[in-house]
Amino acid sequence: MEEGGREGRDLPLITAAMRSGVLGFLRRTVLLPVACALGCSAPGTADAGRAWFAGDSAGARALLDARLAEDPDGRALYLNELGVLDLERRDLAAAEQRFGEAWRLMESLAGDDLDAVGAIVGSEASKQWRGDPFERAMNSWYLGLVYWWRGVHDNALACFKNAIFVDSSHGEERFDCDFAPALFLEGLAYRRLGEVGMAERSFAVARELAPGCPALAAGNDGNVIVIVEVGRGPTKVAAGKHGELTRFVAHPEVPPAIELLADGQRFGSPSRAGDVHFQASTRGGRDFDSILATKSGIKTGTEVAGIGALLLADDVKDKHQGAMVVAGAALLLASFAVRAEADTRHWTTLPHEVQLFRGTLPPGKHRFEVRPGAGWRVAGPGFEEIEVPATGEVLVYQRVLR
Amino acid sequence: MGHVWAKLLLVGLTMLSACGAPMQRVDPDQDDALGGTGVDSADVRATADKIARSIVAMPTIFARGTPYVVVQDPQNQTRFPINDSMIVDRLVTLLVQNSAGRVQFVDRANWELVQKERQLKRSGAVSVPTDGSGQPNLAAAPLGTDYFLTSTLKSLSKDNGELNSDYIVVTFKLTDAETGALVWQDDHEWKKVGEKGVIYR
Repeated sequence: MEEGGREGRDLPLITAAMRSGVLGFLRRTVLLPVACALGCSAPGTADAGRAWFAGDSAGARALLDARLAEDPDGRALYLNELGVLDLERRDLAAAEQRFGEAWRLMESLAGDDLDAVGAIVGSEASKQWRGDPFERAMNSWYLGLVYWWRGVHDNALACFKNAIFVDSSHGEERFDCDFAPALFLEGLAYRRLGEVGMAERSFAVARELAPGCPALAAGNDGNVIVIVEVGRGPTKVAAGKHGELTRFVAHPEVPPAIELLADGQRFGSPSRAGDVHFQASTRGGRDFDSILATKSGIKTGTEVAGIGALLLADDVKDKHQGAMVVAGAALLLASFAVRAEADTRHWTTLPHEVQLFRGTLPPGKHRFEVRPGAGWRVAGPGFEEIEVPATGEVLVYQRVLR
Repeated sequence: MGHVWAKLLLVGLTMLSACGAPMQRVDPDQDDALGGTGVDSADVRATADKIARSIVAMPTIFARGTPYVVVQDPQNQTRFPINDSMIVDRLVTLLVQNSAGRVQFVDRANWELVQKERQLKRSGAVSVPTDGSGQPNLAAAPLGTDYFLTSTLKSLSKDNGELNSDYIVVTFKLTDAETGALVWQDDHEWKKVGEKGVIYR
């Protein structure tokens, strides 16, 4: 026992910290921001997303595994993408681990000072990726589903609540959550925990948000709830003169009808309850956008001044000509060094929309199939055996891709 | 003179380099530097400590002798997915370690293990413990409980884009297992406000 009755193992080991080395310090505080300013930015996952949508899950996984090993700043992004691939093969343990770790990374929004310096001085994409609010909401959505399937209903509730919170909370609480599937699942989780009043409130809000979705209708107490995630989520692209703005490009293609079959018989069709592109594109602007706008202005200003100086160099007397050329070149170099482009890394494997269906089957085992129309396929097993409980409900999931 | 400057530079750089230390052992009762407004080790420890003291300070449950308690896993209704059994595990540890047997716990988490062992003993597949006189001792029935200890975590969360806050209350109840009477209730609460970094707003 040492100081104050605490054991030695509880004492801070300052000496170990001191050993981290001067070189490491220099690398972190000087070289990294300089390198970022000169153009380093983290790779995104567009190639992995393309591979996955093309049906090459193994290729997508290999790309993501490699990025995970080499780029710590994008860790949460790679974990989320891999989590979707884990869901495709129904590996719930791996999905829980990946979405859970990503959740912890994305929840920590304080940011460290060096990250901030790197993102402000250099490229925004040099910062740790923690996602936009809709991506944080979708991470909580998936983690909630995984907890539900693993029987941890209170943590499932926590995740659905967090999905609603992060979707609604930014910008002086101007935006209410409008993602009906999260509210519906929150209601189910509340009910599972015996909080009937809270459950009814969540169901009522979900119904208001998606009045055209029969799965959410009052009185629909079916014991089979089917979640079908359809299509390809929004692509984040740069816009503006120097790429300082971001826009979301929708991929609105969905199959005209999706059939659900139980034991070979038609069971029903899901209908739209939530639109991920809508979630992405309806948030307000970011504080960081004003920093990017300023950087863009500086970039334009130094570029114009540099070109102007070079043009003027021709017209001035010989003794000033050299100085004007140097000044013009320096301004152009400064303009080149300013990285005004926004971070366009985004979660590529998200769906375009979430469809829901709720119906009733007799308790027991059933062979279940989600059959999309021609030109579309399911990502994951074609058939699944589901166990409908005597009381309560079973949650079935499928992803439909072109 | 140059020697002094070199030393100062070296000391300064070494101290600054400690900022990025790969690992530090820290006091679990203190907030760490990672930020976030969720449940931390300090919250788990403070909650367990307060509730353990509250339970042993309550005369009612000792009126009929040593109380037997079944502890249920907490119900997490916050927005934070956590391993909430940590709180009650810590609570039971504190009571077992510090109450000198005044409170006894029935381990229902291992109920199936106990049932299987009882069957093995009675079938002769394994040896049977003996009493003081050397006779087989199989008389004891599985323990019933006097009380259920249940708990719930609830939260109120707010966010204005720059700051977010979470108010969390952990409520514990002791329910008489025979009558259903609520014989005791206590809670522990905290509120945290966190600021988002400018690059994440």
